[in-house]
Amino acid sequence: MKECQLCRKHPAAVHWKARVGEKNFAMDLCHACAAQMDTALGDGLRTVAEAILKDLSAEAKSATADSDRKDSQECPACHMRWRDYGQSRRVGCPACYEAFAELFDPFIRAWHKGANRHIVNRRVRAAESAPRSNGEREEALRSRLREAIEAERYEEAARLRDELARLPSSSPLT
Amino acid sequence: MSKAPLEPPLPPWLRWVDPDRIGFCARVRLARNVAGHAFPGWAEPEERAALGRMLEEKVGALSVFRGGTLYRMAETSPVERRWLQERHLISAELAARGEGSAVWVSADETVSVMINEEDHLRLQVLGPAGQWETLWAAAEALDQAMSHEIPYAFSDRLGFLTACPTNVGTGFRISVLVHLPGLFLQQEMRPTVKALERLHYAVRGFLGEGSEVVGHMVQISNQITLGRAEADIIRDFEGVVQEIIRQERWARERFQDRGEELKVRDLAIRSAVTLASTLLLSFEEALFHLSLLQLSRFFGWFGLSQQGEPLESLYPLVLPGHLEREFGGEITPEHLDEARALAIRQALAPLGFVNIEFPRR
Repeated sequence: MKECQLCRKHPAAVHWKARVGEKNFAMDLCHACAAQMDTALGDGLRTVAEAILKDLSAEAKSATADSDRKDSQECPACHMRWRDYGQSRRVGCPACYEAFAELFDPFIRAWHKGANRHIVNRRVRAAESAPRSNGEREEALRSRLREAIEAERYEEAARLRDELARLPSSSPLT
Repeated sequence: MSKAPLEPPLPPWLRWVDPDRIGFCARVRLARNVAGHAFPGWAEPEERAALGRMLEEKVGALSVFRGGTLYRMAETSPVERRWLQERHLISAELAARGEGSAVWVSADETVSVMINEEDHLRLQVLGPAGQWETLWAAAEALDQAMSHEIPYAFSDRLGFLTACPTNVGTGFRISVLVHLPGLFLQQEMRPTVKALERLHYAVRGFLGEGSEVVGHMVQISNQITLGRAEADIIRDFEGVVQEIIRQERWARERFQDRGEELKVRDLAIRSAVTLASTLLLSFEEALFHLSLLQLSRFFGWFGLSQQGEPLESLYPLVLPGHLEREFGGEITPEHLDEARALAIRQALAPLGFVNIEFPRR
């Protein structure tokens, strides 16, 4: 059953119609909300009623239920919602990048000329990403080596090959 | 010509290695954050303040800050904050913040670390233009020392995580100030800026983000921080800066080719005389005239030569924060213009600009 477009709690029971100024409006409302809208119009609170109606029609056009869900999606670590990001354009915490990974991706690609992956080519690496098992390290180096060769960054590739060769029990040529 | 007796030595942002004085104030900045903590803009005030205190301690313990100074924004006067900003040691954003935000400045003013700016940490190294590798090496050493003390927010996919997605990846920004009177006076700045922006470089005013373009100076910086290694970003940036400097030299040479030298020389004489004799001098006006004085040095006019003259030391004399700090507090705009005019007149007196010998044609 449809829910009331105003309170979104009760089922819609009335197809409510009104003419405000030059415009016709129609909504599906529950009994209580329909009565409130009637009073608002009847009391001459036209601006209030109009504002509510405008809000609703704008929302109906642009915001689907899907984008609503997206907007109120929340980062589990810092509780920032996507909506908050939309307002401040500042991310809440490091974990937000995971929580909203697919939402950030188009922004990040658009800004960074299509890139969405970090390229490590430094002597310094972040402390937390350093301790890894040899297997993991080898895996990571190999994938970077592949990327470097594909992108024809041969200098980097050579360096990665040497790095791989220095790992215990690995052959860079396999 | 004798050197004007001005306060030595010049701060790092005013050190030139290029005799033409086109590129200066090069800077490498790294945006870093502490793992597991909300970014400063979203953190609760108590969390931000507590983290700020912890970072103040960790940063201050680094050997580079031995003999350095900690400025806590909440305890720093507006004058001092303007002064720090003018010396390119802090950003406008940090200057506007309060509790929990601070900056550590090394004794020689080449290194500063902003705490609780947009990100938890902004590591920055300043130096003359052209020595990009040296600058980067210094920033890298600072970063490495810092990473031993603090677990950085880092992801294998996105690199260093920052409060703004435009900085993720390397968190690396390299910038330089360029003095371009030739391109400005030849009306060639608009296409130049457009070309830079198409190449994903930001063009900003004298004091960085949100500041106005004054004195024919702009700041150029990279915008892309992800998907490219720092060394590659530096290499491309160096190429772009060299190209801009080349363009500026050509623009200056064209003054002679087009027979416009007389016009420019006329402008320069007016500037020299204005600076040497004016009673009230605004910030924008002062930097405009100083720009033409620098250009005069390039052409060797008025007995100015490319070596030796301390024109650089005139810049601090016109900056509002510097003037106010010298005065010992905030001054009204009229008094500021008066103090600026006086300082410049005194500094230029030994150069004898009021009695310039006019060129013969």
